[in-house]
Amino acid sequence: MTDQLSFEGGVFKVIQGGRTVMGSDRRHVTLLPSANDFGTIAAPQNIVLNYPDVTKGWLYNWRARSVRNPGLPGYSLGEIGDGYIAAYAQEWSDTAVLAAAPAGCNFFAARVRISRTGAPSNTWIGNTILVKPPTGEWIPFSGSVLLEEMLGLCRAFSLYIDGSGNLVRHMQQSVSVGPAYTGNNVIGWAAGHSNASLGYLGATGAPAADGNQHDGGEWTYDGTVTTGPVGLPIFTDPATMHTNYTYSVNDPFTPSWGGYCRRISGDARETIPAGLTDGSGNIVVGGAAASVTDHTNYASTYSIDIAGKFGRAA
Amino acid sequence: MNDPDTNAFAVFDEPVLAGDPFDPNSTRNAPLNDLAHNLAATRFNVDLDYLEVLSSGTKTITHPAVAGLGAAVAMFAAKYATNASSDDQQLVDLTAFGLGEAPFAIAIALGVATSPGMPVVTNTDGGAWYATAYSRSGELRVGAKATIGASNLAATGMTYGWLVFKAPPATSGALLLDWDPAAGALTLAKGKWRSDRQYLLVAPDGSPFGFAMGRTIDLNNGAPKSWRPDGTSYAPVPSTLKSFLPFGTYGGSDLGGETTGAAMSYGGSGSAPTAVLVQAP
Repeated sequence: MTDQLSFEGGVFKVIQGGRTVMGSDRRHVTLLPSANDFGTIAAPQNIVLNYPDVTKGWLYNWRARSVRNPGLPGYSLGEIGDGYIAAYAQEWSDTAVLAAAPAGCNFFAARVRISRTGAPSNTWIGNTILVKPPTGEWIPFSGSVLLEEMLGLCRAFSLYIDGSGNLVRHMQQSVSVGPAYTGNNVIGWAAGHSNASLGYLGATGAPAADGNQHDGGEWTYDGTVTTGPVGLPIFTDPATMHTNYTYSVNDPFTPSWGGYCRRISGDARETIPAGLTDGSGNIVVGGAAASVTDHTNYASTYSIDIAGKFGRAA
Repeated sequence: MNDPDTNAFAVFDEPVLAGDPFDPNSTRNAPLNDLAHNLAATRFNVDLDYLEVLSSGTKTITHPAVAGLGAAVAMFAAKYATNASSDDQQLVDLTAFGLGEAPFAIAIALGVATSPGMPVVTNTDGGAWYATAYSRSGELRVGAKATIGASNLAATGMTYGWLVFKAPPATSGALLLDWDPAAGALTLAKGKWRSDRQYLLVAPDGSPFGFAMGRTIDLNNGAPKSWRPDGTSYAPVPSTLKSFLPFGTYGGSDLGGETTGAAMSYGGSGSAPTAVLVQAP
């Protein structure tokens, strides 16, 4: 028969329409009475999640082109510099107990409503940091949710009953390891240019053997990293963090933007600005410490409403 | 066992084998009148909510195609994006039930209960759809966001199941146990539980689906990895994606010489959450 109370092999079952609706070999997923609720739709529990700003430094990307004026002793030089806010690798997490689950509970039937109340101040590698899940909606919740996901930056929130029988919220934030550091405050060289010839302005007499035009550049960083990776370049502002100079030989060099690094060859006709020598008179690297004023704040704040019922599923 | 004084009715495993078997308040009968401290031993108690199913079914939602980059994803590649496309569709209309609030519900995909943002459609180079079920008064919806990888993500029909639960009924009548042979239905605890209704069970047979009981996402190196309750996982950022510093341009000429760093992919040691296999037969 289809509908039956079955007792077979030591197992009691209630079977209806072919469905085993109850049995001594299985348990209902059960929820405690509403007196044990952790928030309701009408009166949710609210928690605030403060994700910190990322760990930051700066990078400076300097490029230059020197061009000998054919037949003339002079040459012209152009320089471009871009400052970047850089993010260092970061693994951050925080766990907090929201409530002790009633004895025997291992199941939390939750709905969660997410809203971001404090957004990061700036874009991240050119993209706005959006909230990934639907906001202002009740989300049936189990496990974790990825609140923000950018290239090299993620933030997650989890809600669960831990092994100690506590309802906990877990926050996690992670920032990627940046590019490799290659030494001498120099990160990469343009193809065909050696360290010594970068920015070479040409000597008196014959043009340089490799032509009249030299292009090159370098990345420098904030000096807090001596080994290992530098930061990820996450933000630049063309209006305030970009410089562009063109000038001719012997022009006095006057930086107009917050300090930077530059590399100029030694030349008898070059007036090397004070403070940019390395002591040998040939190569000048970052004589004046570059700096970038950081106006960014990548912290995020979330308000999480929770409507949950404790129960047991086992 | 029942207690005429408190109207309690429960089926339970005796938590300790001591005390008067006939005393509703003895230690061995504690689950009868002290439910909150004896849930693990309780198989049935009139005060519990058994997650009765109000609505169940399946629907195929087609997540749209997402054009890939056509090249390896990389830093500064304008199109690599983690919130590149959105898709939001109704899973089930619940207006007929007259629910006054967002009901508790479970959406099921790939044989598991979805946790919010679970990867449902994926490729191997960074492209994926991540689905989040959410409930409103009158409907259950699936909102999805995509990441873009190197290759195209084809439009994909994903079959979603749903279970929408109702609040437990109030007790009625006086019968603690009633068998109706004509209907073939067993009624327990003054109508609180009936065998002709659907309930969520932890069941060893049938067609159960996994429900996560712990964290389903771990982050490392700026990248996520998601685990589904069945132990399968997905990490969207491919190991070929590496941080680098472009040397930049001068006068429109690319100076080349980028310095490539380490992979930006997940490299952590997270693991799948514990999960239970449940179903609503």
